[in-house]
Amino acid sequence: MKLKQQLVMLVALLFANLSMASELVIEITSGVDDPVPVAVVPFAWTGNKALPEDVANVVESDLERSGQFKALKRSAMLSFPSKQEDVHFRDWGYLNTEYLVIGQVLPTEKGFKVDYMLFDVQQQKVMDAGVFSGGRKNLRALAHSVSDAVYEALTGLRGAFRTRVAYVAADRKVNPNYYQLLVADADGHNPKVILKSKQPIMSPSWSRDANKIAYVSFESQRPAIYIQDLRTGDRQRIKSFKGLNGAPSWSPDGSKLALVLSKDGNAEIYVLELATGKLSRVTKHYGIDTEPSWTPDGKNIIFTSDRGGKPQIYQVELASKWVERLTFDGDYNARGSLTYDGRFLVLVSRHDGRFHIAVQDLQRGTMTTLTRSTLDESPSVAPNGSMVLYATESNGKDILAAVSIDGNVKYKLPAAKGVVREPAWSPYLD
Amino acid sequence: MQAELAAQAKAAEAARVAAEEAELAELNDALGQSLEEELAYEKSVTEAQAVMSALAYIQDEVRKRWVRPADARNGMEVELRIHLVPTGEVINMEVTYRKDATSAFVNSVQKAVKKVGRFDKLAGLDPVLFDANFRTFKIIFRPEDLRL
Repeated sequence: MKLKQQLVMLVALLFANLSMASELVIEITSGVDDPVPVAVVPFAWTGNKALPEDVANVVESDLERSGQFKALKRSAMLSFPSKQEDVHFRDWGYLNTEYLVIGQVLPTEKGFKVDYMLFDVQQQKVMDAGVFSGGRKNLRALAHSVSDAVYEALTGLRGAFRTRVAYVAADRKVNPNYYQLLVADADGHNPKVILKSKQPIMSPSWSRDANKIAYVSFESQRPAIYIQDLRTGDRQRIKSFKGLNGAPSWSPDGSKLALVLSKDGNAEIYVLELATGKLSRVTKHYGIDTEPSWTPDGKNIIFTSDRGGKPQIYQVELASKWVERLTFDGDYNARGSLTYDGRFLVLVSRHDGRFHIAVQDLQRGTMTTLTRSTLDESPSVAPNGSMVLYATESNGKDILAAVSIDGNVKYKLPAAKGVVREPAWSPYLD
Repeated sequence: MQAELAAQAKAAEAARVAAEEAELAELNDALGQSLEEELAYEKSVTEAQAVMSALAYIQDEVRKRWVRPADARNGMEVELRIHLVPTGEVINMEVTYRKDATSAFVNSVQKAVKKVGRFDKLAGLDPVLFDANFRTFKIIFRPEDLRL
């Protein structure tokens, strides 16, 4: 009886709460992460010659590679509209397509013009539309621009498909100049060699305007840092010092380089003002300080140090030289860099003798391992913070791969010959 | 003496009967009260169950249509106020609170509700219960299952 009375009270209370409270509140703490179905219709082209690129196919591949979208097969499409008036929403709805991309390629005097439209199938309305034009050789880049626009309209996050990657390749068998510095599109296409050398090339770092790359070259038998202009090919060797000259990292405003020098004894972090050549020392410790990278505000430098006995990631505030340790999880954390919003620290972490790419959420303090392979190194984050490019081994081959910042999506870049390593994802190109 | 005793016995008997009657009446009262209580309890349980199952239904309908954007993170929060008509159709919604939520995140929760469009099963709910609970209600979207 007592129990029942309590039950009555409880139910009465519950119901009173439900019915008398100003409003019911429903809480939803989980959702679905299935890729969103999207259809990219082949873009119309009226020219005589076949186009050098299938624009819709490039857009489709870009969107699918993000892991957030699933493209409808062309063979399943009921029509290939390229104009708004030819779109029958009911057909696309029937095919369970949520978003539809149509467009056409038009010839211009200098090259091509690509126009596109993005529709919300359910709401039967245009979400985004635009035109991109460029030279004859740029059709693939125009397609990536369409992907960027569509991605941003659908996710709210700026697309990073029309960006580039720099990486080092080495193949003794194929080329006597077997060290090469290459720059390719973010999807691995259009690789171009920007430097060949018989001596090692290391640590490429992009300037924030994406026009220059700083790197370390041993071409003079000793390590030296060079800055190369990608538009003109001009190279500039910055002043070298005795010992180590390494790991250049461009400041967010483009005016400085952080670098590692051992001229004063052991490896320390320095900052070089490019316009004046003024060099200032940032760290002072008998431990090794290396792998500098900047926080987005340019006020701090993240670096790896073994000052605590094992390699861990630290942050130093440039104004005060105040050093703070950032990583505590595990006995090896290195090669740290921040996403452009400053929230996530991407790094290499060792567990049970295996090297993985991991991400530490600086807001919540949690560390998440993103990759499960054994020898993952050199993580480099996309400018929109969505993907991390890294070097790894697959079937005994060195390759470049990418993983989403939440670890859910992974893909490999097209295989190159020989050893590829040290990828660096460019900033936005404009 | 005998008469006195007889009168006493009679009075005692009358008092006993009166007491018994009073007890019976009290018992009957109590029984009636508990029956009323019982009925009220049954009703409130039924109604609470109906509301609870409607809540679970709404939660499920929205949850399975909520596709989180790439920049969704644990700790983001959006509260939507939903306005329904008795057919279960969503006629309006507004964002009443947001914390750390990006615009893509806000869009994703609105889209989830728009995709439901109409909560069909609410049309079968007792109109009084519908008016009291589902004309307007709030949904809080607060992901806890993301990896980041």
